[in-house]
Amino acid sequence: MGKLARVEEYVLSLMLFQMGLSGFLQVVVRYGFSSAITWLDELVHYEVVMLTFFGASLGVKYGVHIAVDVTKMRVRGGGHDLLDAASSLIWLLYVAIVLYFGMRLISMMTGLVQYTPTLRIPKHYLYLLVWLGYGAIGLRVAGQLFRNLSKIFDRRQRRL
Amino acid sequence: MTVLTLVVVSLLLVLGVPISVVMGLTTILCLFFFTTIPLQTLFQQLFQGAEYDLLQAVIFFIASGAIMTRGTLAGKLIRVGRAMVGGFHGGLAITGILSCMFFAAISGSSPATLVAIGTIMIPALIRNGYGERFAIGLLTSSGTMGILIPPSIPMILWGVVMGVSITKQFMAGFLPGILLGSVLIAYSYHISKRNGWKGSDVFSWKEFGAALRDGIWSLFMPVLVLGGIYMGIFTSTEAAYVSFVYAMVVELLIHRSLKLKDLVPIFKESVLTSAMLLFIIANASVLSYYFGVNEIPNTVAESLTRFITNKYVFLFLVNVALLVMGCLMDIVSALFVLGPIFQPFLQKFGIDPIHFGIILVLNIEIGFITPPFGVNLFVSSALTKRGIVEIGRSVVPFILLMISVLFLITYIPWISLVLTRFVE
Repeated sequence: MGKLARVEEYVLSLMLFQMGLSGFLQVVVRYGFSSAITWLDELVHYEVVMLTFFGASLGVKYGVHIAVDVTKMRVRGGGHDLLDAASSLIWLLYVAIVLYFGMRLISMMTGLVQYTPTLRIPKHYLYLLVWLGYGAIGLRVAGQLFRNLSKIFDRRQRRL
Repeated sequence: MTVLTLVVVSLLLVLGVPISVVMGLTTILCLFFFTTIPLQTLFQQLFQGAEYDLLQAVIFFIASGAIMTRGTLAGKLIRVGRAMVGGFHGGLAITGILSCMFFAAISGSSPATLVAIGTIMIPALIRNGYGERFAIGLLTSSGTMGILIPPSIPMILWGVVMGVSITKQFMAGFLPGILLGSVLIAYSYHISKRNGWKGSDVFSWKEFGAALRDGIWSLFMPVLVLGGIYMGIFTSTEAAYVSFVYAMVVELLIHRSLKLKDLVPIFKESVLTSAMLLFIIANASVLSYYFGVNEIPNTVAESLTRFITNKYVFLFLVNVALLVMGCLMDIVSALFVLGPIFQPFLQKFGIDPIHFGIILVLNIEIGFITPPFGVNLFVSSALTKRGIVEIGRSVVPFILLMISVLFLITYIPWISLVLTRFVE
């Protein structure tokens, strides 16, 4: 799992680098040759989508998602874990709903294939990308919930 | 219906659920219970929300800011400032403010500006006999100018929400930025003179020339990036790419302050920061879709305009509400909800959305340094190894100064709008 996360970090970082260079190349091409590499432009658009959802999944691991911490700062110890567990449960509920309706949309779209303008990628493949991103978020949040619950459970047992 | 939604939102926020999830989940519940719209559309909206063109500008201004923060660009800027004003009363403090302003003109983020300049300037000020509380408060507050002086990430986001020209929005930030900087400089001069804090530097053309030569690549950056935007050479998205590549080339090849392997953690950090923002944006776009379909902003506006009949009262109330909100949460992520809600008011009272954008940005800035949740307070605490309470106390006079500037800018739209006439 740790190795997979490392690969994910490298892939996303490398992608950022490539997106940056591609964007710069577009500026040069547009300014120097009054032209545009349309397929590259389209690719970068989809990479932004990937970065958003897979990056958000990585963000769960590093705890970067902004939340209002008023309550968290007031409670300590066990209450903290309970709050985290409740928050993770709500995350999971949200992810589950998005995954369910996302899959319905994707399976509906496989029947009527639409292609993207330049790269000719079937549109539902792109939606699948978002779906997988949400899947990754779900897995991470589930892992967090599991760790939280086992902490709460351990504490209970120690008290007994 | 509205009350029920508000209760659910508050409950989720209090539980500590991330803001992005609160937005997404609330929309799902509203779509499900109050409309007949199929929930699949939500998924399409999420995709479209993340695909928006200007988001590339957000990502690459974040990334170039991260590169510059780790490199030596900031140090070279400080050397130029010090050579210029280091000998005056409060000279070193003024150097700190000027360096923040200049760094703000190449970076679009407040915490990045604080890290880049504060890391060097806070210890330097203390070493040179300036009061510790003053030094910490000054840099923590000056760092916030990162988002007022263009380029600015919140301004790009505001442009996305309101559909205003980013070039004009950027231009509108210049004078307010200079005004705020001047107020901070005047205050620092006054305090330093009273306390006898004077720099030991003596102005010399030789040192000034050497500092300029050393800092030429840093100094050229805003000329390239902002000049490029205003001369119509490139769009703000393209400017972000240029600034990303420029920062990399300067730090890797010219200053040689970074090695290729140093880029990996910088990119990782940029991926995380951008993804966090983009994920909020994707979810917010779902929420604004729901708002649009149900004309929620108009309903809210209609019910509130009965109480708010005057433009000046509206602006006053907005500022008070935002200052309170800024203490409790990050207003940047709230922009997407606030934008559509404010829009009918702006139309009704004839307030220019670009002027309003500057008011919002200043409120966000103040929110960065108001306890207990100001981001810059945490950054400063990490930089100086001092507690949040101590840092919170050090920024109090600066918060008051910034609030007075906020009210000037709110009630004199000219300050924000005069320069926007010169750009298309």
